[in-house]
Amino acid sequence: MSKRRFIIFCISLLMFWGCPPKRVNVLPPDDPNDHFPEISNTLAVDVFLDATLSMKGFLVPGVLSYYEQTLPLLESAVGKGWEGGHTTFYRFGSHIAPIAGRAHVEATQPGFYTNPEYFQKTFIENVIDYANVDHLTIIATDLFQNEVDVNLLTGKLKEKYLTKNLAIGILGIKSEFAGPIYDVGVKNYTFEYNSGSSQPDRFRPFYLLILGTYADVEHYYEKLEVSGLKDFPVKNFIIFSRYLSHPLSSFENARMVKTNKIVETGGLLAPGLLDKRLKQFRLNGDVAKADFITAFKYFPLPYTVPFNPATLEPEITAWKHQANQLAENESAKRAFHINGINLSENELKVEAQLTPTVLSEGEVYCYRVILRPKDYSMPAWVSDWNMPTRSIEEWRKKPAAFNGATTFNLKPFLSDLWEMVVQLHRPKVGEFYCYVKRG
Amino acid sequence: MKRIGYHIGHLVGIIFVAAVIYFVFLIWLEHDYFLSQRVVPPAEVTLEEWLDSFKFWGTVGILSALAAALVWYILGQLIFKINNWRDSGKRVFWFLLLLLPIIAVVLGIVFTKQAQEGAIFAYLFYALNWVLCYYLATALCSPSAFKYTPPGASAIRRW
Repeated sequence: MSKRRFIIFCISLLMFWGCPPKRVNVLPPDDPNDHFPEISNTLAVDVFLDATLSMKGFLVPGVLSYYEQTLPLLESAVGKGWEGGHTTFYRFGSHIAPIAGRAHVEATQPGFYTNPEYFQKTFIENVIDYANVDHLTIIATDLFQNEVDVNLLTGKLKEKYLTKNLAIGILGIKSEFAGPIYDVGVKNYTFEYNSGSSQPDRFRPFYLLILGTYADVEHYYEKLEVSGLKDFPVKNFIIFSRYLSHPLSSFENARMVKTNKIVETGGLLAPGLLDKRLKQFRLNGDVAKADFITAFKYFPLPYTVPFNPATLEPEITAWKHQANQLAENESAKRAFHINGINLSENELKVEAQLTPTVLSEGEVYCYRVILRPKDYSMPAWVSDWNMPTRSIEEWRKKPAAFNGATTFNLKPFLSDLWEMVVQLHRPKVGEFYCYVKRG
Repeated sequence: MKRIGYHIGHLVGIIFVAAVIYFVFLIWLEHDYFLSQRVVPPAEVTLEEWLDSFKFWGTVGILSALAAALVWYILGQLIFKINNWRDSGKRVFWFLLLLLPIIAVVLGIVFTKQAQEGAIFAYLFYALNWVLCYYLATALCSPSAFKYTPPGASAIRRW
């Protein structure tokens, strides 16, 4: 080798050595709706009290009913939960009107429910229309809707709250009751009911619909508990929102249990580019199959609708990195399979398998895996508290057998509400990203 | 003055050999081009973390071989006084100094992160690097009186 050739060889060698491999400078798309809301620093709370005749029965002579005990908690929970939080009370029925000053304390007096301007009809949907979505809205009602139009109510809630990523909390509390119950069944029958005061199971349920961000709704409930709700014998709480767990299970809180023929690397993304949701992998081109098992931490949120963990389904999206962009690539999807998902109390274990031969040598692909529950089931109390429609005609014949400890249309109302959440948001429990390069 | 230049020449030679082994062998051939393509680290260890661990222990091996070669040079130049290396009986010291890089290699094998595939290459490279570093440094740059003490040095050192 001549001296000149040797120098050229050395320079070429240095140039080759000095060229770093091309890095990806694009992160996967981010869904702003996934951002979990924070508890508001300060909050305006609007409390709407159902002032119709059906509610009057919760005022039982000689007994401080749980309904009456709840009324002061509605305001004190705001004071405990939010510094400078402000509560405004309204009464509703046929109309809606603010309650001036401290007049809301009159809700413990029968006269509050016999005002002819309000008592005749319950239009909860009007309250939804009236509500300000920037406030936390509390509606205290027995959920006996005029014309029993559940669809109208759920439609309003969907339009005003669910589509805006807000949450709906339903707190059911059983309370002593004595008096007539109106609007029972599609024929709007009226029954007399006396729960007595010694058997909480016979108490009649009333509900607080708590409407706002998930964080505020949950925080309000926690403060109600602290304020005194914890001592109530029969109560149930459920939140309808897109959030089932927080944070979502992702590589940010995960450990690799096993890797096989797959190399975890930090060298695919451009320096300085960070995304805790993703991991980067390299596959040797001549490998037929590669796989890994990851155990993600699972942070279930309280009060959400339960689901069957065996029905978690993966949804895989594949992109190919080209021209500094991620372009969706259907054929690359064939290279990524989820072979197993196992959800235990606090851990979500996922088995993934890759087929490198499907991918082009030297190219970088991005995979997004979203894990969504398929089968949900309402908690048992929803069925227990639901008024069986078939029994209403029998009760008509034998009024003494009437079960006032149930609510007409409760189950359809809550089931429809959850169906809407599922249709709108398709709730997820996990979302993780893999950047994969073959070769 | 000429004497000082002679020593500096030999010491620079020893360091040059270590530098070549480090940059050309350890960093370029082994780290960048061989192991990065063949090693499959275990779960929870990225390729870069594994390669960093290889580089660290490989550097320790080369530095210990360099230290052994420098000690050998100092011993030969300042401590041992002989006229004929064949009669000096000092080859045993040369072999004893080999223990230093051997210990470093053993440490490297023990403490380098485990790998599912390819770790054996790393262990071979550790051994190759210290053998090359210690042997070439001492075979090429030993003091004149001991220039043929390293086995086979007579075949490669012609000055």
